[in-house]
Amino acid sequence: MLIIPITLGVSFIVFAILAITPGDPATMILGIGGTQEEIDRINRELGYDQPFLKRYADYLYKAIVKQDLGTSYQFKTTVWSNIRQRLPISFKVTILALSFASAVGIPIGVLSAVKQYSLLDTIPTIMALFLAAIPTFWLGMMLMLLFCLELRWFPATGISSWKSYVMPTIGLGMPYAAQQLRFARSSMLETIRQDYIRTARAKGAPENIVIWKHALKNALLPIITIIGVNFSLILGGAVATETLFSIPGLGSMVVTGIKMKDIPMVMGSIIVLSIICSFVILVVDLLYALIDPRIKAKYTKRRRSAA
Amino acid sequence: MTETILEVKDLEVQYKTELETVYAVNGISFRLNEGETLGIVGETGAGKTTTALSVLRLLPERVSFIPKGEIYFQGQNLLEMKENELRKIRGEKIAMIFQDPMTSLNPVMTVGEQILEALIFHRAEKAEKAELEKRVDEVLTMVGIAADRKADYPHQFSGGMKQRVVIAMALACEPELLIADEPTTALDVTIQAQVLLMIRNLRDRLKTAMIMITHDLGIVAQTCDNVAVMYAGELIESGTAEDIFCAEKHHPYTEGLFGSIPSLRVYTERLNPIAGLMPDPTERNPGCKFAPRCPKVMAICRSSHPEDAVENTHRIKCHLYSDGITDPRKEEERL
Amino acid sequence: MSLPKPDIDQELQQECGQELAPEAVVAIYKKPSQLKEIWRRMRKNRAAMIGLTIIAVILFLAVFAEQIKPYSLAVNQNVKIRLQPPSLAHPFGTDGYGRDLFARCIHGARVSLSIGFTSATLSLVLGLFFGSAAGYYGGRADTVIMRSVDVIAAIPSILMALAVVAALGASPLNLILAVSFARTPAVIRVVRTAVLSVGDQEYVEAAKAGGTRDIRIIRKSILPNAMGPILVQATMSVAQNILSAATLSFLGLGINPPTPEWGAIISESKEFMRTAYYLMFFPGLMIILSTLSLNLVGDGLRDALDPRLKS
Repeated sequence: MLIIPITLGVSFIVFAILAITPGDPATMILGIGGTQEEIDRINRELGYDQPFLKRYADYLYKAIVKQDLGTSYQFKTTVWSNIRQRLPISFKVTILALSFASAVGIPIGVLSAVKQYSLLDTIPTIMALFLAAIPTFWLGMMLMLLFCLELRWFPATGISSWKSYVMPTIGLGMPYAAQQLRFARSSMLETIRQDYIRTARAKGAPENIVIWKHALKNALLPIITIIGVNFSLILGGAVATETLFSIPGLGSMVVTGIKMKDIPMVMGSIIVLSIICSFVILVVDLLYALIDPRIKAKYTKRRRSAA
Repeated sequence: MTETILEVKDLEVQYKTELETVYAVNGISFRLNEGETLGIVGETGAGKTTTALSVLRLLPERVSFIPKGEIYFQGQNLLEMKENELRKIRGEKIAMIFQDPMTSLNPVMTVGEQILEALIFHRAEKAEKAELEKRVDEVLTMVGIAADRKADYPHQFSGGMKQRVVIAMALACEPELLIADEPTTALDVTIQAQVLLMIRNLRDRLKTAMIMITHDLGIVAQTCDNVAVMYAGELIESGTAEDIFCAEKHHPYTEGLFGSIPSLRVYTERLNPIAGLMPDPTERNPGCKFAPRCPKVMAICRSSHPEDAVENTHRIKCHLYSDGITDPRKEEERL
Repeated sequence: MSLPKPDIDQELQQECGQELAPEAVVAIYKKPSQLKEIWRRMRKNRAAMIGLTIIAVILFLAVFAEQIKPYSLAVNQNVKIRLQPPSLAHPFGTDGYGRDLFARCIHGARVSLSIGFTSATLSLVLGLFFGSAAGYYGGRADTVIMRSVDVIAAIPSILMALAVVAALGASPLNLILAVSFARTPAVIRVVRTAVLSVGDQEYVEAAKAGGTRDIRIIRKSILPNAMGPILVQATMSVAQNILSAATLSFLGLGINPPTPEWGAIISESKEFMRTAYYLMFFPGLMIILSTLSLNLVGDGLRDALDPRLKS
């Protein structure tokens, strides 16, 4: 139920930030040279002469009851239809990059913790340090240059086929793979030091059972939270990647929207993206509770005592 | 004639980090017979736990080193064993109860799974799964926990109950040697007595040999046949329980240990702690380790390391007894 | 660890000419020796020292940029020498307008680093204010501040920065505001946790019992002792902010050409991607090296402050 106050809060903050825009939306629509009368008329139509809170309430009312987030200045179509069209693409890019980051980062991180101090540890750790410092747009450009323009293995722009997603996925996911590698490694190292790992060894557990059964399960718990946080970071980071690879997602639309001063479009997109992020983080928290018996017990106990 | 189950010879253990080397155990030797109990007493940091962990070869990798020594278990040198041979001994023949029950159980596995696991590692070929499950119920009942609680997770148990689970786990395979590392230190005083009594009864029933590590002389007096007093990585005095608790002559440190226990019969103004702290384990001095704190220190103590003085089962590492420990009473008798 | 404690005690006592209570001695000599100890541990950390060296070199280039390559070389166009590959005269080559890329990169370091440091300072100030208020007062203040932080943190920081830029327009000042505003929630959380961890220490209780004003307690007793994790967070913030600012500039929503900024230089280099890859390679390298070195320093600082964490 936390989702409602967070949704309200998020939309309010984004609305508040964007409402202080110095540029007059009426001037935007009419272009330079509109008469003062026309400007006033449009401002009235759009409700810009109303006080701030009233405008926010109206915006919220329309958004919830009519799924109406306003009309885009640049496309002259509804913001909602644009979002519905582009959101799945951004979502796809984000999920792909997140899966790539987790699939590469977590196993290597766990492995380098298990083989601490060996080459299997130092090489990935040093690489991860570098990769975590690389801006996604720059990595994307390098990949584009090498694999799309020189080797011509993948298309450089658009979303014509599955091949188009390969480079954006790697370019966007790689720094997060590095981050998850570092996190998985330290979580695993922390777990291996725990007393219960020693207990397992004292029982005569073979090393692979100690690592993959006793340690991994405990080490993965905090990693799940990081995956949730990374979802929101990647969804945000997709803005640059989408722009670079000319992917018609919501992120690239925000950028053009800002340049075109298309405030309703920008506002709608950022609010929707943020709500998705907070929703994902919430779901991940619940997932965590479901997997960790300690927290799970707290929930069920509370429910029991409430009943 | 009882047979020796465990013999430790001149064991040394060191921890090395980038900055320093910690000399944790410095040449200790002891012997344990089948079915007997050895108590290892000493302050925190004396090297008791390190000794126990080196028997099971569970010392932290990479930072710990055993430069010298032999550990024979039923005639086999554990220090020369391969990892997969050791695995067959851990849990099956030698089991360990750890100090802190709060952290020694895996939080994401049910206690039943954790006990069952110990059985699967060692009994899977010989027995059906159902039999092993039955055995889990059996050991849980044995330590006084209802068998239907095996589906619960460790966090659902209290500290004392967790330690019972740990004990059940250790005894599941009926080991021949049980190492109990301060099994009651982390527990409430009232629970301590219960758990201790239980360990003792189970030991007697199963006829297990045991090493009881503690800093509590009371526990030693109640449970042990033999006692070894450890100080700064050395055994400074060892012998039968009578040697330690009844004989007249002792290492000054042992005397200090007894002196720091308040007596109910004699009125004491205040406790008599041993003054000072244990020496820095990163330094090695030529003299006796206890010399800086010793009330009976002599010039020789600071320059030369004492040898064991031996009388029958009683050994004392102190210059005071360089001419033998012979009790004055006994000497009179002999004359 | 063998700190020369007794000697310092004696020296202090001689200086003061009287016997000091042991607590007083501890209080006086704790600070400098603590810093020394942290520095000693830092120096042993090879990665942190490499990071420190790299960032020092970049800072040196930024500070003496004018002496190394005058600003005019970085902005004045000279079509005759456009798109030259790296050479002795132009170590990083020249761009599409014939500007020296090395000059643009080191003058860009001025812009990028100042944005990184200023915005990190700004979010640190905001974070210290709200974070210590939440941590120290607890109760309703804590609830209000932390719930707001939860909401703001739910918005991905780059989107938050974009929203600020969308509202205020693209300019250096707005870029700093945008980046630091997006970073502040994270800083608030760290400060609050750090303050909470020292808040119930006895010396704080003592100060409270003595009737010291809250501001003074926070400033004198709590913050100095909570500074460790905050400092680490601040170092990492600079790195993160350089990345965010470069991303915004790359999107054309931060620093606009011809002002040299690493992200903006890379953005400009896009059209010459195939013919002159070095145009995007070198400014990218500058970003990577500065972010990497700041992260290394941050990691090293964390290990030095809390040696337990190191295995």
